[in-house]
Amino acid sequence: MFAVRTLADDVFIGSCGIVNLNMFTHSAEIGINLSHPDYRGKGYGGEIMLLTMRYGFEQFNLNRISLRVMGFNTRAIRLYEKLGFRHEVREREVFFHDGAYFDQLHMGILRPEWEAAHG
Amino acid sequence: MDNLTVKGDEVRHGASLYLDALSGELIDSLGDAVLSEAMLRQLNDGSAPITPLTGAQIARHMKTSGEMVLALRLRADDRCIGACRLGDIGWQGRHALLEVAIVDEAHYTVDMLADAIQTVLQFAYWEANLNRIYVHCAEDNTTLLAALKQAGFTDEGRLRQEVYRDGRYLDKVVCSMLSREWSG
Repeated sequence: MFAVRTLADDVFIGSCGIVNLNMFTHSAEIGINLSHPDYRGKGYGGEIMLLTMRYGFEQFNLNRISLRVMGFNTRAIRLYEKLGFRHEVREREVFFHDGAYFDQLHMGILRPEWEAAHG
Repeated sequence: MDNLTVKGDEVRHGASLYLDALSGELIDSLGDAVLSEAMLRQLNDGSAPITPLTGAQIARHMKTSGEMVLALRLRADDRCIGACRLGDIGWQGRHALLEVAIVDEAHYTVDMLADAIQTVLQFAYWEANLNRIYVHCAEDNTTLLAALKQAGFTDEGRLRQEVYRDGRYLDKVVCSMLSREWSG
């Protein structure tokens, strides 16, 4: 896990990390948290994702990085699609919130796809 | 009392199998012979290397992994043929990962697996009050996939290249059943 700080003013704005690492299958999940409200909606989320993905592929030598996101979080899903993640599994009724169940989307990107898009 | 339906043991009984406490004695009854390569492949979901294991070792590992672990016993002669587990339970979302390990090769069939799955579902919905039961399965495990289809599971998609075996990557299939979809 890493803390995320801005280069311009050294402000702590969130965290990111590579979790659920399986070194046998060379796969892991990515997670980010942009917790500082003043820095949301300004492109930092995509930059944090790219830095963490690069760390996973180039330092951990991963073959696959995946993530899980609530199915109704369309803004985040659009960002992940833009970064090259593909829809893989729609896990039905995983979350229970405010009296209703919600689906969870599992998305993934493979090393060749990363290299083609960002290598 | 006459108007009440008392299900009792019925909750844990299938057509050919029933669920029981996975005692040390039952684990030992599974024997210390190493399973065949074919069986080891069927019982491995691809998240770890296939290594030589006995049926007793597999059942013991399931038991130590905690949560709801039960023995699978034949109704005909009470013989233990494996174990099952409802793990990674999310009590807020009421979901659990189902693992079924029939380690007796003579009984590792689509029909017996489907019966085991149905029996665990009955327990999961009626007794444990769960809503979503899901299974992770390597794409080349045709026996388990056929049993899941027979039991009525929905294919939710594939985690690409999440399985590694024989020098290549395979997909991991995710299947699930919700309590309202179950017709038990």
